[in-house]
Amino acid sequence: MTTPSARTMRPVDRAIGTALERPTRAALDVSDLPTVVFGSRDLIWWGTIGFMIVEGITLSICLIAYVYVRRNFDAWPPHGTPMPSLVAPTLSLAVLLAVLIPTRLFDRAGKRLDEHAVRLWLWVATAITAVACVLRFLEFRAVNVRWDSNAYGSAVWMTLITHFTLLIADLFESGTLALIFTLGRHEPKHFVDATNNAFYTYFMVLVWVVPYLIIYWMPRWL
Amino acid sequence: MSDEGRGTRDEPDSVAVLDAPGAPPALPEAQEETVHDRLERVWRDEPGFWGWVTSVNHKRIALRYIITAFVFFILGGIEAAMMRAQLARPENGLIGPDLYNQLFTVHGSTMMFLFAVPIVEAMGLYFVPLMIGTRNVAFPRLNAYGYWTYLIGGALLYVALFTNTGPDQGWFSYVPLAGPEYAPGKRVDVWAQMVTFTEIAAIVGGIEIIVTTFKQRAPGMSLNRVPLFVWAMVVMSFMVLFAMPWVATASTLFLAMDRLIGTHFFNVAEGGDALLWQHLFWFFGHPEVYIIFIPALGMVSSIVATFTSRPVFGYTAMTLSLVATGFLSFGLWVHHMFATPLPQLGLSFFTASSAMITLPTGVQIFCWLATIWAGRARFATPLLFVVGFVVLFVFGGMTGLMLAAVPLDLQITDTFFVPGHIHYVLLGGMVFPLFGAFYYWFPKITGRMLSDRAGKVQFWFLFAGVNVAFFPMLMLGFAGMPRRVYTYLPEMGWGGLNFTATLGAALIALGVVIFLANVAWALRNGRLAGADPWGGDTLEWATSSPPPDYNFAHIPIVRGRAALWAAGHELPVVTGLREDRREVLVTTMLDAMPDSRHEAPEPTVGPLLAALATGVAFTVGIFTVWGFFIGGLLLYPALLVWAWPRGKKPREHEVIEVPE
Repeated sequence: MTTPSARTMRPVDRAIGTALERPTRAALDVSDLPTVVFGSRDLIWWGTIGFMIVEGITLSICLIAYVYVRRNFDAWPPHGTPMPSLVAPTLSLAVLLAVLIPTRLFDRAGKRLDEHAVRLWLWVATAITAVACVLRFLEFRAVNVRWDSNAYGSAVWMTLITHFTLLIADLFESGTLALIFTLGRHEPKHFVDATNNAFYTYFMVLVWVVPYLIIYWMPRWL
Repeated sequence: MSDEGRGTRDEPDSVAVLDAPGAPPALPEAQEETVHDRLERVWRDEPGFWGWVTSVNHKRIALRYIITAFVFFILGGIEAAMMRAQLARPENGLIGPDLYNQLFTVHGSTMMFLFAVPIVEAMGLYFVPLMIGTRNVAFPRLNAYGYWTYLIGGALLYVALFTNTGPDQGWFSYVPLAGPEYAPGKRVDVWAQMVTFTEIAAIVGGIEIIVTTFKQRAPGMSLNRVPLFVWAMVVMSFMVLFAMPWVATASTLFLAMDRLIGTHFFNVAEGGDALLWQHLFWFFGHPEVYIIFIPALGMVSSIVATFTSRPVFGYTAMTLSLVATGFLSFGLWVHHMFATPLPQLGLSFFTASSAMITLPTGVQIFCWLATIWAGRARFATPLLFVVGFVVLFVFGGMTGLMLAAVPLDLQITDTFFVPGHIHYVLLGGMVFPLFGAFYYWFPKITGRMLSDRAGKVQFWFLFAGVNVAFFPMLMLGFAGMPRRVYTYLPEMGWGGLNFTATLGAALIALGVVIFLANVAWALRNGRLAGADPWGGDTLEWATSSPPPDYNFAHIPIVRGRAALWAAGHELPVVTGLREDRREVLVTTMLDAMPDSRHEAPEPTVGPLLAALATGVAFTVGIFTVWGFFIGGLLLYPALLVWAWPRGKKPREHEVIEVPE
């Protein structure tokens, strides 16, 4: 038991208000460390993962509800409800996947601190994301069911709405970042922000593949 | 057992090489003073109201959380007292059925969503950065946003209660009772959106604790040296991330929308499913109990180590038990649904899994007992509360095992046995450790000691009160008294036990009053605590009480599990963090090797504005779906205030390191 002896060595408490009560000894100098780092070395990268977990679960719960209520119906989609169309949703997914290209480009540009390229590809990504938002509006009509028609319609709509909020959040985030770079207000850390934004966009785009398959293809296959 | 003690000092030391001979000697006193002045200038909030609404200091925000949650604890307690007064004798006319329904719903919702989870998380938000040796949480503005959101949610519930719109469907809000058909009006919607607010806040707090712990630990605090309290907070935070979205989605997106825009998630006539609600709710609801309970285990470990003057026995077993409890708690939810039509195999599986979760809890209890046995126990108030916790929690756990057995559960489900059980485990398992933690850390937060004698009196009032109040409830359950009834007939023979339970509630109330008086007295007259009144082993005791805005003038270096006991006379510290701007040291996730200096955000009103916009979205959203659009539109300018670059700071000292 080492602790009692360690405790008896505890110095007498000094006056309140001194920050560090114990005698200290400088043992490690960190002034050489970088102040701007990328990827998992950066804090926001970790926070982004936290939000991905939460948003991924939320989307999954919508799909769980979709599958769960299915057993209450003889047919799927229910009798009287037409199959969802494929054109608008597939186009919408294709445009979403297209966002990945400029996103990858500003991600890489950010990591080499290429201001010009970051600005350019951020704007391109924002524009394509805006198109994806418009297509998502059309997608709501392409599902051929209203949210208040039956439980099937409710689950389809809520899945779409949930992902739509992620899409809009990404639109505003990319757009704002593009604006910051255009107005010359950017600091070194905004290059990291751009790469973190890309990290989130990869998630937001790729996560949609699963609901797309379940909502539009599963009723046709199964 | 002495292995444990030696382990704290003799482990291979990953930063020893940095601490080689030739390092500069102890910092001179005069230089220390200017360090304090410079850090103070950079880290303090603006004075007055503006500083109050813009603060992003983790201690200030966590203290607000603690105080607000305690106010809700008192409000929930008043509701409980009113219900106990009504039930004290048969056919009592004090409170009518409608108000009684609101009282038990708001009581349960308050204690779960506005007291228990926020206050344990707040303890983490206060002490995790101090225990791991950093200056603020990872995302200080997000942290402030979480608090304001929580405050709005709590205010919403109580404004509703005082305007006779308090939810009245029970704290787990079962459909179809909570659906549009059987619950017209806006009461259930208030509940659903209150849940949204508190879950946003809880998730935000969880992300703070995880990232802060993973990336901002003091050099040398490798993962196998993280204090058990911090481990408990990390496990709790992961559970929050994985559990809270279930109830938030079920209440905001499904239940509220069924009621507002006519979706049919729970409407059987259109293919919806009432059991879906129960699955979604309890997939959150069971982990919820452990979300409340696991941080309490961390508090217990801190107290046990300090008051036995030895590290807690079985660090690895303790940590693995916490993680195992976290995992297992996600496999139990169906035991809340034994009375619904489920396949036989499902019943057996969930009975087995419910029994299994007692194993890791048992491991921890034996480890604490071994520690107390082998150490030199000082029975000050905090340790007394720990002993009370062990006794009550083991007893409450036994009643839980009874409920896990399907045949018995079918007999006593929806009787008073269930509230009796949950109060044993939650008061014993969470409120007792929390009061112990208050006595333990009050000196650190305020700089003054609570009265130990008053603390012991309070302990005995609470201990007696819990048993006198809740043991009769277990008996009432066996006697067949259903829960959630506002009165009963004299010939049922439940009068005596109910009266006893009401007396117990009065004892608990007295215990809480003694605590409040003790706090009020100690704030003015309490003995000055100094930095380390108990001889604690974790880093929060290395800084003054209360800690300065920047926590540590120099970030400490950790050389063993019991950071301070292993440090010896002089604490080795880090130098080289900038003192003319807010900088925190970021370290690697596994070994806590220094990796970068991160600029921490400054105060801003953005988080408050964003929380207000969120408030508009979900309160106006109770009445019209347009509320969500309006709130969303308001959120954007608020986020610009939050994140738009100010651009007034010099940037020439930035050192950028790009990936190869």
